[in-house]
Amino acid sequence: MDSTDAPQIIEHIHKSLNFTPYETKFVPCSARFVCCGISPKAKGVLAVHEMSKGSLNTVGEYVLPHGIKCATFGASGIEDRHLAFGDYGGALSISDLERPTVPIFNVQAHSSIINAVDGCGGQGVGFGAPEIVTGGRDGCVRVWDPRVETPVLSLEPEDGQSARDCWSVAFGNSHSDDERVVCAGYDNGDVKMFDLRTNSLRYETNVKNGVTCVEFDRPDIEMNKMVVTTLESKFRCYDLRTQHPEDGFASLSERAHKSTVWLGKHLPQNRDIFMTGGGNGGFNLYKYHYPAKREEEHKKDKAPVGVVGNVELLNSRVISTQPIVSFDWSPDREGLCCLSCLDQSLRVFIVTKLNKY
Amino acid sequence: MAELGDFLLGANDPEVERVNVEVTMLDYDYVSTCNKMPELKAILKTLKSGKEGRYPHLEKTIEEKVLSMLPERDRKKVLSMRTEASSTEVYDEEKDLNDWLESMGGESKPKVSVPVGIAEVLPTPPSSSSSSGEIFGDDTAPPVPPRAAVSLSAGTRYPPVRGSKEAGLENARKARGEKAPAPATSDDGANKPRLNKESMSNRDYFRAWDKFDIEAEEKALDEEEQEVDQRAKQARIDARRKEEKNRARRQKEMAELRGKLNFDSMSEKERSWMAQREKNKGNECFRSGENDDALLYYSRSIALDDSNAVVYANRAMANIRLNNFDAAVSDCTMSIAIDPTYTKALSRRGMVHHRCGRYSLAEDDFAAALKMDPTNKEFGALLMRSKEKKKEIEGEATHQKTKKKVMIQEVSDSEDEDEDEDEILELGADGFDVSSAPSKPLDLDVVSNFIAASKFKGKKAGMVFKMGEDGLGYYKDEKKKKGKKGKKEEAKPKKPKATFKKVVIEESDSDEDSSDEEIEVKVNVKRATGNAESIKLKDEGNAAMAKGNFKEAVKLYGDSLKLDSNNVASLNNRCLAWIKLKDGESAKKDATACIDKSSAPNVKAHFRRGLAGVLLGGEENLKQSKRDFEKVLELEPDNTTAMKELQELEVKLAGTPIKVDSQMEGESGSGSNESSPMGFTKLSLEEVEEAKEAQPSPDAAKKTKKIVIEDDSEDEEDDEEESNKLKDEGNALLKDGKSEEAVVKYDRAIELWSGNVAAINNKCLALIKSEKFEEGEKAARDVLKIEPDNVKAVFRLACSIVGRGEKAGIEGLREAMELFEKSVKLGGGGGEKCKERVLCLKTIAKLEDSLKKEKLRHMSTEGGAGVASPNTTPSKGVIDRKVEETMEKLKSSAIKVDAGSFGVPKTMTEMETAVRSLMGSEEGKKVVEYLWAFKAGTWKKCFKDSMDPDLLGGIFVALEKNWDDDVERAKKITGCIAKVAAGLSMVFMVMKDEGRDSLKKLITNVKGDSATSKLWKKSFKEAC
Repeated sequence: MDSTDAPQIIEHIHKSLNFTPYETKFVPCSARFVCCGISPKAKGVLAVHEMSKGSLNTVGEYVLPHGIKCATFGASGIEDRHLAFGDYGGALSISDLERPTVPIFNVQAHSSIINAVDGCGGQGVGFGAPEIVTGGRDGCVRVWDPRVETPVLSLEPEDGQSARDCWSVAFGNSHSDDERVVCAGYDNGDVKMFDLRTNSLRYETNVKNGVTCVEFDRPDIEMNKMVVTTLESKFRCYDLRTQHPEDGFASLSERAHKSTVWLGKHLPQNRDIFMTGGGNGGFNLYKYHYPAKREEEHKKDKAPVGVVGNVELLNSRVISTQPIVSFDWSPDREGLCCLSCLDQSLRVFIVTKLNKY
Repeated sequence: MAELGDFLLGANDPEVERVNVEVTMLDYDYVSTCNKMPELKAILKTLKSGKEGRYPHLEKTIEEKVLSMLPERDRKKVLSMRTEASSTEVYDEEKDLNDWLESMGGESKPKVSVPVGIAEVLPTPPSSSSSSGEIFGDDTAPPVPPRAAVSLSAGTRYPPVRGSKEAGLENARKARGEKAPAPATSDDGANKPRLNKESMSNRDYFRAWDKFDIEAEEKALDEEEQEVDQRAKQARIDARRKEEKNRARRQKEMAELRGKLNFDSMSEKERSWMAQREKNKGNECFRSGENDDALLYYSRSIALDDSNAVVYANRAMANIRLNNFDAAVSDCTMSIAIDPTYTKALSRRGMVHHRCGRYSLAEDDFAAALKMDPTNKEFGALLMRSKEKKKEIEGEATHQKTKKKVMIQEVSDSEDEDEDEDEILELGADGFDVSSAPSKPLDLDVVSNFIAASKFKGKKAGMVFKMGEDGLGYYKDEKKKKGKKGKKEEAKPKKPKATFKKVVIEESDSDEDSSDEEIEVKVNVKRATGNAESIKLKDEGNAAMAKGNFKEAVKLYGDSLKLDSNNVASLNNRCLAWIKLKDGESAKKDATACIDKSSAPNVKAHFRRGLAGVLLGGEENLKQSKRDFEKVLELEPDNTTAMKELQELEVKLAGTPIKVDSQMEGESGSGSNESSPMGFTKLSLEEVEEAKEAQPSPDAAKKTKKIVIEDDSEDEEDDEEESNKLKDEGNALLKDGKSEEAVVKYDRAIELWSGNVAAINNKCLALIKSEKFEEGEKAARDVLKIEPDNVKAVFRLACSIVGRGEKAGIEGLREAMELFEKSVKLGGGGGEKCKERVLCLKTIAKLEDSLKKEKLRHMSTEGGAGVASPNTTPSKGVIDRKVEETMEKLKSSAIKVDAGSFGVPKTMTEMETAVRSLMGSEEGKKVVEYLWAFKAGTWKKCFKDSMDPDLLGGIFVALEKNWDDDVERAKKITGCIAKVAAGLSMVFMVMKDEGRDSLKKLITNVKGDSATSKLWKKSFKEAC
C-alpha cells in the first residue's frame, strides 16, 4: 500500500552491542555517529560508527576510565566537531574524535555521575559563546565555557536541603550574543528555567513526575516551544513565546508509551515535529500544531498569556522490549535517525515523508 | 508495531474523558448498537487500561467499529500508520540514503587505516599513526593536533567568556599565590536556584481560618487587585517593548548582515551548512506565520551562501506576505538568475506583478513558466487570468466607476487566493528542497558569488546590485522601472481603489450614527453606491452638528432627505438635532419615520424617540418613551444609559399623581438621591450637552462605557479617565483608613461616570468600613444591577447585611447566607483557590456566631416572655429548630465545599494528599464527605498496598466518629473498603492501634446485620 501519506518508519540497520549504550549522536556533516555507554566492567565505551550501504562499520572504539552517560557536539564548530561528554565519575571531557582517550578539556564537573549535558553556541554565528551545561546527581547544574576550567555559572541546591537528582538539561533562547537560558529537569518533577543574561530564575514549575528529558525545539532562536518528558507515561509541550507574570507558560500534557517517556527530540529540519522514546521500547512521532492565536489576554488581569496548540500523533512503533534510551536525528539528512535501546542494540531508522508535514 | 487502538484513541479528547464508562457498557450488544464516537472511544480506553480485565476480542471489535465510523480521511491515515512501508518504498528510501552517503564522501575515504580496536586507557598518548580525517570521513578535519577545545580561528569570533571579569580577578588572585575559592562557591547566592517550597501543614491551614481578619483581607484584596492591574499593565508594556526590541534587532542585523559575518573565518562547508540551517529556520518561521523572522533567517542564509535559488524564492514569499512587493520581485529575479529553470520563482514574480497591476509583465512570467513546465495547469490558469485583466484594463474605458470598484476588489481577492494556494505548494515542495539541497554541488565561493552578482548588471539587462539600506542581496529590477506600460498600468487601478476606500471610510467615520451601529453601517454601505449627493449633504450636516450649529444641521439633513428620502442616517441625525434644539414634536416625528423606514429594529431611533417623548412631557408621551426605552433595553440589554433613562422615567411616571407604581416607589427609595423629575431633565440635557461636543458622539461614548463595564479595559474617554482617577484617589484614601473621605471621592467618580463599577464597589467597601451598612448595601445593590454576577458586590452586600447585625433580623441573615453561597459559586468557578471564597466561608462562620447570638437573644426574650405567658414556648422551639437547621446547613455546606474542592482522585497519591489535608478538622467529617463522592472504580485504584497506613487508620477513625451522622453512608464506605481489603494486608499490618480500635468498633456497630458483620470480620481479619 503506497498510496498513503503517513510517515513510514523503516528500520535500516540493526547492530548488537557488547556494552550498555546511553547516548548516540550524529557527527555533524557526516554519515557517522558516535555511540557511548558503559561496559560490563564499568569502563566507558566510545564507539564511532559509519553507515555504509545498509551496514555499520565501526571506525573506532575506545575504552575510557568511567562509563559515559551523555554527550553532545553542540558547543563545537562543525570544523572541529569535538565531542563533550559527561561520565559516571562526574568528569566533563571534551575530546577530539581522532583520539578521545586524550581529552583536550577535562574537569571534575560534579561530585558524582553527570546525567545530562548540552552544548550551545559552537555552531552558529552571533549566537554567543560556546558553552556546555551539565546536570549531575549531586543536584547541581553547571555551565562551562571550554576556554576556562571553572564553571561560569553554578546552580546548586540550597544548603541543608536534600539535593534533587538533576536528570536533564538544555540550552535555549540563544538567538543573540547575550540571550541564553538553561532549562533543567529534576527527579522530583521540578523544571527550572534560568536566564543566563539576567542571572535570574526565569520560570519554575513542577510537572509531578521525574523529568527525564527537556528539549527546546530549537536552541538558537527566540525560545518558541519546549518538550518535557516525564515518568508515568506523560510528556508536556510548553509554548515559550509568552510568559505570564503568574501563570508562566502555557502547556499541554499528553500520555504516551504507557510507561516512562525517556526522551523527546525535535527534528532539526522542522521544529514542529518531534519523536518521543518510551520505556515500552517504542517511539512516537508527533507534530505540534500551533493555535490560531498564540497569545491572548489573561482572563483576570488582561496581561498577555500564551496559548498552547495541540499535538498530533503521526506514527508510532514498538521496536524493542527494552526502553529506548537515546535517539538522535541526523542534522544533515531529514528523517535519518539513530537510536539505542537497553537491550544493547544500536539501530538506524529512516522516517519517510517528513517533508510533507 | 503499535496497536491500532493507540492511533484511534490518539490525543486526550475532553469529550472522551467526560464519558463515564459503566461495566454494563462493556458488552458486545451495547457496543454494536452504540453510535457515539466518544462513548466508544471511552469504552476502548477503559478496556485498554485493563481496569476491568482483558477482553482482546471485544477490544478488536470496538476498534473495527471505531475505524468504520471514522471519516474517510482519518481512516486512511490510521490505516496507513498501521501498514508497514512497502518493499518498493523501502528500496527507494535506502537507495536515496545510499546516494546521500556517497555524496557525503564517506565511501571514497580509506576505511580505518589502523586497527584501532580497543585503545589503552588514559593517559597513554595517542598512537601517532592515526591519520587525520579518518573519523570525520572527510578532509575538512583540522590538522593534528588541535590542542584547544575551541579552535583559534573560531575563538576570535566568539564573545568573551561569561563573567570574564571574575575570571580575570581569579587569575590575578592566582598570580598572587592565593588560593582560589572553590568553583562552586564562586557565584553569588543569586545564582542558586530557590529550592524552598511554600509548605504549610494542613493543620495550620485550618487554624488560619480562625485568625481570619475580614477587613484586612478585604483591604489586601483590593490592593492586590490594583497590584494585579499594575502588573498586567507592566506586562503589556513589556511585551510591546520586547516586540519593539526584536524589531530593532532584526533591522539592525539586516543592515549589518554583511559586515557581521566574518567569511574568512569560516570554511565553505561550514558556511553552506549554516546557510542550510538558517534556511530551515526561515521555513519554520514562515510556516508558523512569523514573517519578519523568516525574512531575517532567509537573509542570513543568503548572506552565508547565495547560490541557492530556493532560498531567494522563499524570501520572496516572505516579502510578499509582508507586502514588500519590490523586494519580492528582486528576490524572484535573483532566484531566476541563479536557476533559470526554477519555475516557482517565475510564477511567483508573475503573481507579484499581477498583484501590483503590471499585467503584461505578469503575463510574460507566467508564459515563461508555462513554457518550461507545460503540464502545470496552474500556470496556465494564472496566465489566462493575467491576460484577461490586461485586456480589461486596456480595452475598456475607465468611465464606469462602479464597475471598476468591483473589479479591483475582485482582483485583490483572487490574488489572495493565489497566494494561499502557492503557500501550500510552497510548503509541500519546500521540504523536498531541504533534503535535496545538500547534495547540490557548491562549486562557487561566496565571495566570488558576490562579485558575480554585481556583474549581473552587465550580464543581464536591468539588474543592478544594490548595497543600500534594503540590506544584502536585494537587486533592483530596472526593467520594471523603465517599462512604461507597466507603470501606467500600475497607476490606473490604484486610483479608483483608493477613492473607493475613501468613500467607505468617510462614510463610517463622519457619520455619527454608524460608529457603533452595525445595522446602520450596513444600510450606509448599501447606499454607498446610491445617492452620493444625499450623503454629502448629510456629511455637511454632521459637520454642522459637530460645530454646534443645529439649525444649519437640520436644514442640511432636510436637503439630504429631499434627495434621498430613504436616508435613515440623515433622518436619525436630524432627530438628534431636533432634540438638541428642544423641538420634541419634530424629533418624535423623525424618529418614528426612522423606525418605520429601517428594516431592522433601530435602537438609536427608539432611544431618541424616548428622549423626544421626555422633552414633550405629558403622560401619554412619557408612557410612549417608557416603551421606547424598554425596547432599547430589549435590543441592547447592556445599554446603561437607556437603563438609567428608564429608571428616571419610571420615577417621573411614579411621581405623576395619576399612576403610582408601588414597586417603583420602593425602587426609588433605594435608588439615587436626585430622583426628582427636575433632576431627570437636567440629566438628559446633560447628555445632550455631552453630545454637543460631538467628536466622541454620545453613542460612541456609550459604547466605550459598555466595553469598560464588560472587561475593564483602558478607556480613552476623558470623563471616564477622570472618574477612574478619582476612584484611585479614593482607593489611596481608603488605604490610609480615611474611609469617609474616600466615599466622597468615589461619589464624585460615580457622578462623572455612572458605569464605574469599581468605584461603586469600592464605595461600598468604604461604607462598610465606616459602618454605614445600609448605604453600603445600597451601593452593592447598585453594582449588582449593572453586573449581576460581580462576586465582590455579592460578597459585600452580604457583608453589609451581616454588619447590620441584629437589625437585619433572621430573614436578612438568611439572605446574606444565600448571597455567600452565591459568591462561593461565582468565585469557585475556576476550581482554583479563590480568596473570596475563603473569605466567604469564614464569614459564614461569623454569621453562624451571629445566628447563635440571635438565638440567645430570642431565648432571652422568650425567657422573659415566658414568665408572662408560658404559651409561647412552642414558637420558641420552632425558632430554635430553625436556627439549629441553619447552622447545620451552614456547617455541612462548608464541609461540602472543602471536600468537593478535591474532586474524585485519579491516583493513590492524589487521594492521599486530599485525605491528609482534610483530616484533623471537623472530626473527620470532611474525609467522610470526600470518600462519599468516590466512584465504584476509584476504590480499587486508590486503596493499594503502598498506601500510607496512618491515613487508612485515620479514615477508619473518621468513619467511626461520624457513624451516627449517617449510618448508611458510613456503612457503605466501610463496605467499599472491605471489598478492596484483600489488597491492603500489608497496610493493615502496620496500621496504628487507634485505627484498629476504630475498625473494631465499626464492626461491632453492624452487629445487627450479621451478614455484613461476618463479611467485614473476614475482610478485616488481618487488621483486627
